[in-house]
Amino acid sequence: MKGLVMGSGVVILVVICVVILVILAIAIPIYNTLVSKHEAIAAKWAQVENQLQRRADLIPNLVNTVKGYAAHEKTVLENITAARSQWGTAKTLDEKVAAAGAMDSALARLLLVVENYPDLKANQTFLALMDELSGTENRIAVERMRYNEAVRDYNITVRMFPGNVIAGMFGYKPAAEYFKAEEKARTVPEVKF
Amino acid sequence: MHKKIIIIFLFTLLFIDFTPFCFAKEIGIISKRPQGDKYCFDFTGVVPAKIVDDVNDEGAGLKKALDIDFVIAVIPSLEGNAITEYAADLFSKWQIGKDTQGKKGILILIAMKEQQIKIETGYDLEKVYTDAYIGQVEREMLKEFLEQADWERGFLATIENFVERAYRMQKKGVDIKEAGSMQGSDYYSGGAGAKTVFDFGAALKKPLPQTPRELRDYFGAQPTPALAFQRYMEFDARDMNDYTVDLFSDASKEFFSHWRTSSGQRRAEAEASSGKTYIAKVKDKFAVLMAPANTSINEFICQPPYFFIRSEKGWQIDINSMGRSLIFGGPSWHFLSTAHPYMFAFKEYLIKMNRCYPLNGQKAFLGLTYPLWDNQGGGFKISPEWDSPTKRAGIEDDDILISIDGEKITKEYQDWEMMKRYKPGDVVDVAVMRNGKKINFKVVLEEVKTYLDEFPYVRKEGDPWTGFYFGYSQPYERDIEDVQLSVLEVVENSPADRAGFKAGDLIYYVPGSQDKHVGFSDYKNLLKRVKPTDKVKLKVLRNLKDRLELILEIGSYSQGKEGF
Repeated sequence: MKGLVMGSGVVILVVICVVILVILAIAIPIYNTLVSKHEAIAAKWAQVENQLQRRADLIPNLVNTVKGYAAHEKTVLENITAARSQWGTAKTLDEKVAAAGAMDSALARLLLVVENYPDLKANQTFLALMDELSGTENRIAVERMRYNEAVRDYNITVRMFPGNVIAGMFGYKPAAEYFKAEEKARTVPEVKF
Repeated sequence: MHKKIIIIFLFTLLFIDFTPFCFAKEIGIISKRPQGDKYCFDFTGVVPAKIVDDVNDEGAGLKKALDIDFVIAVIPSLEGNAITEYAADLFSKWQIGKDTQGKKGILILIAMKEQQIKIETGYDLEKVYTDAYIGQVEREMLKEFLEQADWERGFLATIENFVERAYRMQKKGVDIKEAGSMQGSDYYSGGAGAKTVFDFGAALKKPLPQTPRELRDYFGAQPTPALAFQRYMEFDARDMNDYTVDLFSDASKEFFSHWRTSSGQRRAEAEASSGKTYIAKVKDKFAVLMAPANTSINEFICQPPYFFIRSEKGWQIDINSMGRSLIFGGPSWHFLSTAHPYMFAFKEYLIKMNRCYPLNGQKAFLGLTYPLWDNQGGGFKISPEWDSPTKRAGIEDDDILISIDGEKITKEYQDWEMMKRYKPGDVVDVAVMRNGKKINFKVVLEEVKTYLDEFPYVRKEGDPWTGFYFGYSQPYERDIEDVQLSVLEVVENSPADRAGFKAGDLIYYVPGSQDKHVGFSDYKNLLKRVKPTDKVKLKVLRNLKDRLELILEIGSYSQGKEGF
């Protein structure tokens, strides 16, 4: 009798151990996936920021070149310079997204204005700057897309079972998809010649 | 039983990777890069097969020389996608640049239905090929040639420009072969590059541009060769392309009636000459303008010698003869032939495949070349001249030269200077590094002798061999329109000799060549197709009157044999 009780105690212990092991075996990879997917978001955001910075760096040259041909387009040029400094001072993610949006529309207006200056459009420096700018816009689009993909991928893991359990335990929350609205109503300038 | 099958079926489904199918549906093109050492992919069938082959060759060369994976894809349609998205997608699906040290791929995507071009740059080439550079190449080279419906020059001139740019950047200190910083990334490119639109064949429908009447004299024949050269460069700098003005010799006018150039090429030519000192060498009605000590590779910009001819009108540029006797473009130029009236200007040079060696007392020949004077600290990267003492001694491409007879080689032409102290038959000790190991070679020096060996198609034991030396002909003065295969010499007892070829023969047909247009490339392609003991029929013009058909039995190359 006693032996039997001891025996069943051992069985229960073994069962508990097995259950814990099974849970760990499931939970650890999920936890690791969560961590790496979360890190991927940060890495991809860094790429987006690099490209936005690259675009901001092009602006002084662009403004100077345009000034030479279209000095009286003051408001447009001032707007674009203001958008650049807004980007420079943006600290949080939200501020940065807002500043990037402001830069988008300021650049779009500048390129509209440029249409009225055929000499400027034929200027070699300007052409080179336009190539750099449209290349950068395209890089931003690509990196944004990859960032959003990473966010979506992470969010699926966080929201779905069993990821949601693990995420809840360790405080991983769904991340926000930036740029989503923007992508639909994109004001990114289409550079034409 | 049925249940079991269904379960097995469903289970199997779990392991099938659907991504390629999804992708194929999405953008309608092979989701994986076709296998093999290929770089040109035409999914439309509009690009001539020969050009696809040529680009594949160029691509393999670029991979080897610069560690760049250069891919051209021509597709029928973007199927509703933006070309930028399509290009980025194709780039990552095909993993362009995968086998390089980093993410060094280039994709030229051409969509025929939409008439759009996008050149996408791999992450680790963005510094070498900036967006501004890509935009310029697209507009001034690729677009212009496609509007002339010229695939060949469109692709080859563009590739050449990329190569030249790479060498120039290398000269400025950008190490292209250095492993890239994006090696860890999942992606190969990030949208860099530029796009443009084109109108295929449109330029052919437009009338040729005309030089305004008041400028026709300005760009007419000139009183001196130097002035003619100056005007020619101005013609390029102004991006003019009316080749009917008298600045061009009659044969050159004819030449340009079927040879078009792009504004990018004209700009590059004008830029290459600007700020350089040229000297003029004149003999009778012929003149050559060249940079002093103009070796084929002393600058990383094409800086060929220019030929001028004097007619009753004055001095005119003889582009036709230049085209027949020089290969120029990219970072270097070299001789196609030494049998032309302008050769007097090169008497002080020993002409070899990769180098013009200035002759000033050298008595012996070693045969080392320095492709691009590539010195990466430890020493120059060298190649043996074809059919030379170094080649025979076993020196190979990409060996790093350390010393010759104990003398450390640090300067350009140092080995050539040393040759003043030796004579043919002397043995020198050449030390090189190969795969990190030092190897010493005993090289038996030979006599100084010019060879027309610019086309080393025959490379190794057992390769197809004929025994021709080819030279120059003046095609437009004869009834054969465009022949480059002028037999200069036939090696004794070679297949060519046995077939009855003689010096002076003009070969105007080889299997595969177009009527009236026979070039070295036709001959090269022929050698690629045949094997020893094959028989080929060649058509020959002898003494400019007899037309013969000779049967050539292809021989087999062994070390020491001469000719092609």
